[in-house]
Amino acid sequence: MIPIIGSITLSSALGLAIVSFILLLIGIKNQRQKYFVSAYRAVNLISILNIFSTFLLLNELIDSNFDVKYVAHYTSIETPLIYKITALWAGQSGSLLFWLFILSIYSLIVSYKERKVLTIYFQWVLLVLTLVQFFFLILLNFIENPFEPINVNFVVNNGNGLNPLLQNLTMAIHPPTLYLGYIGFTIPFAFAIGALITKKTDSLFWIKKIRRWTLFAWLFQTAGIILGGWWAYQELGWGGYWAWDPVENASFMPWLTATAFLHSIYIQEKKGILKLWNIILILSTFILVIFGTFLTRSGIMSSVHSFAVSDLGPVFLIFIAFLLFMCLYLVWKRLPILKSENKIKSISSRESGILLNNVIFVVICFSVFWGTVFPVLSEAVRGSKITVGPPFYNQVNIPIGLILLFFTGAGPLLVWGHTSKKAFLSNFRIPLVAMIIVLFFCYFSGIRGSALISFSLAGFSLVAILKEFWRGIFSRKRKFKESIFYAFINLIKKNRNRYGGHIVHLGIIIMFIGFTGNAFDSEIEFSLKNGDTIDFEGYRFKLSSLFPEERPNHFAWVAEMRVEDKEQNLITTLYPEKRVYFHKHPNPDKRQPHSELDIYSTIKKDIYSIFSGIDSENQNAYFKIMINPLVKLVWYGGYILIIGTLIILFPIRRESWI
Amino acid sequence: MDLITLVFIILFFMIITWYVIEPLFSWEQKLDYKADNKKNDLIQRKKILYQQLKDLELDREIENINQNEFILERQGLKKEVSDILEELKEQ
Repeated sequence: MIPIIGSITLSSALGLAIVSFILLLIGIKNQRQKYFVSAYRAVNLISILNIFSTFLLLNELIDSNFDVKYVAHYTSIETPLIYKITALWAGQSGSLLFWLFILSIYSLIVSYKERKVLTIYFQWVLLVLTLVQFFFLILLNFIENPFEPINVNFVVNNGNGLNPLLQNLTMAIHPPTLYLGYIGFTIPFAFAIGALITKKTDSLFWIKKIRRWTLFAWLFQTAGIILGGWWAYQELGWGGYWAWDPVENASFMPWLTATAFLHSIYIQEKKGILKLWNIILILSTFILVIFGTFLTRSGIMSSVHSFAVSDLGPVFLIFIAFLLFMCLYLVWKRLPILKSENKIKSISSRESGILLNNVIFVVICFSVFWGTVFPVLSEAVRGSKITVGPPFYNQVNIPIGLILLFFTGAGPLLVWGHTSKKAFLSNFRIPLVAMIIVLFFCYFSGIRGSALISFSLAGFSLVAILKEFWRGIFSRKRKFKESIFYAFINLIKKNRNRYGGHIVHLGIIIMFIGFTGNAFDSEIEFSLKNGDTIDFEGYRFKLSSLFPEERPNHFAWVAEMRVEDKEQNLITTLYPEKRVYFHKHPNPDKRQPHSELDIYSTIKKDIYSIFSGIDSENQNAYFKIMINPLVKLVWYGGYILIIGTLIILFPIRRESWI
Repeated sequence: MDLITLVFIILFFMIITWYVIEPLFSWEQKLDYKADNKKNDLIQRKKILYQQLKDLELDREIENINQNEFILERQGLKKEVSDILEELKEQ
């Protein structure tokens, strides 16, 4: 019964989407309120029906109704409740429904917030939102129906269960967070299209709305990417957090263009320039979101995130082509109103710095795009798939990233309009001295190459940002006789955009220091028997016990490994595991081995242990140990970045320096 | 499909259809484009310029710019503000 209701709900939403289109178009043409109100109700109903059908599928997953194909494929009776819920976005059709679910929530928020603004502009915004919902409803109704019943000739007693890699708490949070960011970019896109059609691209009303929505989506996108890295680091067992996997790249590309947009929209707001550039950036961000969804869903790329090859590819390509055509046509038609009112007056100005930083973001985005699509293009042109690996991305992006790191600190030191020679010397002197000190210190510590440059530039940028805080705090202290603590709090409180931005930059710099730690990674593979020891990188690893454990949904071999320093003091005990999921399955091919690793983490370095395999006859266990310096700073930098963004986003009532 | 399900589905469609088409019979006003006017934009522009003046003050306080640059830049911003205030007065 519930699967039937689910299917009917999705079909009704599709029908309502068509009705909404017609009503909105008539309303825009006739400019009569009754059509708009009718369309407004229909658009809201689509969202409500989408949300309702998502809850129906969730109900089937929790109830383990294996009559539904999706439920049987991604859950089993043994699957813990939390993973039955996360199975909603584990498979193809479920994740498409989840996409629609989040978009529907966003649409309802926009629709509620703008309900009193009955403009043609808002009607176009609704039309674009409905168009995107319509596309996903087509997919769900005709290609990937999540409520599709299982073949009537079969009775399924138990389902396949969830992929063990996805049975991780981070994985329960990472996709929803990433989706909130990813799909959130639909809203600024809809506002941008509405502004282009109604010729409102220079409206400050538009800029205010679009910037806030983009920042909101950007926050979740950033958090989602960091959580994805954290999951990969904890779960995939290769010791890294970023592999330049096509699907990782798919989430990174819109992040890059959105970051560029968030910087350059400030220039448009303050100086009335870069209108065309900003429109291109925000439109590209959404097209890259759909492109990313295409990469994940079509199975065209081999990735740890991809699903099997599906029929979705051509439909997505048609939609991307349609979006590209629509955006190019609108931009071309509106070129006269997208001309800048002013020009950048000086090369040594804040706006020049932001523009250069924008170019860097776009260059990185292009290099990532090229590396991602190159295997597909090479296959189409030469017949053989040439995969571009991390060396390509690192070779191209490390030098560009280092320039970006410099601008993270240098940008705030530049003044709007023009930075005089005197101000330039005064602002850059201390950070440059800090950079030289770090450079010498690192050089004499034996650090060379890009790591040396990275640490030095991080030193420059870190001091530049801290100097901004220091000067601000002391200015307040002098002027208002506040204590350092209150001066710090009030400085941020009264200038949220500015100092929130500095905190975001601080987070980025700390993350860069963490990334640089990669240059010093080391690893060893070995086998041990009970009681054996091995020395590596100044640590002694001792296998003190090895024992089997039967658990509800898997079987595990648990290794107890003591880690001691040179003086044989115990540092920690690690418990990496070798698990077998579905171990009771009669078909051995269906049993899934999985290495559950254990990490001892400090600011300085991580000791990363992987239990690779076991020879149970000889009681010989195989391990891989990695020493990864500074990884923790990547996560700490991420926290700081999120805090900074929240400070900017926090509702502003009164903002003044005094 | 049993009778209750069928009744439920028909009822569901009837409610949705009524809810969507009801305004077509009861609403007759022309649209009121309140947010489309230029005034909102001018007010927004005024707020941004005030913020820029505050930022400029902060830049001077923390010695990012010197007194001469501050005076010059502030004059430009104040001129823009007074132009907008003038325009707002006319509306």
